[in-house]
Amino acid sequence: MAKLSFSPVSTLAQAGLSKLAVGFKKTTDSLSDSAGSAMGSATNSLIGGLSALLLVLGGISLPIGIALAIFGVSVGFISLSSFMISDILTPTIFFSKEGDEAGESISETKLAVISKTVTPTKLTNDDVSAGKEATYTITISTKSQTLENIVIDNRTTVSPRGASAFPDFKTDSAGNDITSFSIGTLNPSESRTITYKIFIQGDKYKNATISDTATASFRAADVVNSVSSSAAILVGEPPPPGDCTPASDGNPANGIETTSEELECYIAQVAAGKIEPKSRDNMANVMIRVMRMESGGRQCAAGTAGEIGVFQYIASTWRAGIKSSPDTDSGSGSISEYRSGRSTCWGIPGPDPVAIPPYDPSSIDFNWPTNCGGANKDCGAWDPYAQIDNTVWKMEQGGACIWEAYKKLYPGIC
Amino acid sequence: MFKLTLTNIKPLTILTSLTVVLIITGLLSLIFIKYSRQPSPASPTPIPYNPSIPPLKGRELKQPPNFEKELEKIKKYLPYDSEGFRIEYRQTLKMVSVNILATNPDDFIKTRQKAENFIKSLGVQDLCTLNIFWMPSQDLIINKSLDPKETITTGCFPSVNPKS
Repeated sequence: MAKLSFSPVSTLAQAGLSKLAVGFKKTTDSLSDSAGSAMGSATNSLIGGLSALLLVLGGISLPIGIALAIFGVSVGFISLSSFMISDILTPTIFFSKEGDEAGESISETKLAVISKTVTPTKLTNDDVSAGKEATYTITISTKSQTLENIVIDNRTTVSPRGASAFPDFKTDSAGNDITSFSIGTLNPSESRTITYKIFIQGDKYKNATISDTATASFRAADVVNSVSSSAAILVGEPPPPGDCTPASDGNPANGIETTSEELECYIAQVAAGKIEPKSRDNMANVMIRVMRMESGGRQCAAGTAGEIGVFQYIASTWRAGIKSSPDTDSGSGSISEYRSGRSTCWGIPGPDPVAIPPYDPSSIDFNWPTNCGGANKDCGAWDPYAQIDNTVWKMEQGGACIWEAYKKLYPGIC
Repeated sequence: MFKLTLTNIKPLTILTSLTVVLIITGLLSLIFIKYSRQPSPASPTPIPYNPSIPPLKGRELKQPPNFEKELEKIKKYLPYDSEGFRIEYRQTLKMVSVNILATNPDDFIKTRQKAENFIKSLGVQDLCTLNIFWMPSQDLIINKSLDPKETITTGCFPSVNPKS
């Protein structure tokens, strides 16, 4: 916030790391009072004890008193343990097309056009119980250049409602491989069409989207290029476009997976009916744009000031949130893991990010254990839904300017 | 012969007194250490963490006037994949989104402009009306190298309220 005099906040803002200020002062005061109270109590005990010793022992009490004082003050410091966490793989969320046009898409580059169609584009659940054939057609056309070594890589994925997607269909109805097609060379303005059929049968296809993507890679003028196209079959009542289905596989051992798409669904759900008071823009519109710039909707996002999550909160600002849950270990992650592509942090207990220079790792503002009650405690900050709820609240309070992305998206407001 | 005079017993008295004082000191020190450690508060018991995913229903975003009219011009082509970008329409949210694969801000801007030109080529007259959400690739987000303003369609304002 503009009124804050806390210098690291403005430094962070200049670095484009969005932070946070609502309630910062209050949090700091609260923590200082608590620490001061504890220290005062310990000091009083020491003074009492030393006084008694002095009465009895005279001059020799001093070394003992000093030793005790050192002992008494040293208790209570928190040590952070080192940690190592292996990468976690999460299910991929695949796109599904809508309505009657589910079965076709085209892609075009300056070198080639590829299209993929499927018939039928819709099946009922009874169809897949009994078994039904679907016909796919892939067409690749060249433009003005010769394309060599054309290979089409073909991948089919099934996305059932409320469950994780899985790869499927490596052969056609006759048992021929459909994962790869070698085309060879196509001269300018030539085209090639591939047609194959798959047989769909089984309960696992009920209420699912069967997505099929063909990617053609080729060489043109000694440069390798690629172009891809998708087609999809909707079975029963699959997830509607927009994919508001949770990505979690339901296995707590893997953590709790989320996608940016499902988080945007939740943002729309809780904020589409609200107005962000500073910009007077729709709050969901604001939040989705800010989240995309802060974290891209990635729950593992961590920053150099120890920021956590989809809206990149530092510890002290998060602690001041209305939904904060002290003493909670909601997840684990670090900026190095995030940079290396880790994608699931929520629900996997363990250490939290530590600030790195130029931010002071010992600063209370960036320190999650200090703010949240001990080692590995993060006040629930890894929960992306809690991040959204808190952000709605902060924006309703007029706190949107704490995000650097907001200030740049809506210049002149903050 | 040792004489029990005050002069002779003085060192002994001092030594004995000192020994007694040291014993008392030790005992008192032990007592003090024992009781001074007890008042320190016990570690807080962690609250069991039982997260839940709220029911997801989604909700249509508020969009500018004429959004549907312009959307109709591109909807049948979506999703559309091309070099460096993918255009999607998310019906549940009533939202047009473009994912851009770029490794640096310049690349992002060029690819965004290319996608804008493609959408215009489909007959869209007012790109701002589509309120497109441009999504940068992860590298640009991590490095914070992309100005958030570049995630707004060229010549447009991020607000869905035309008066903003």
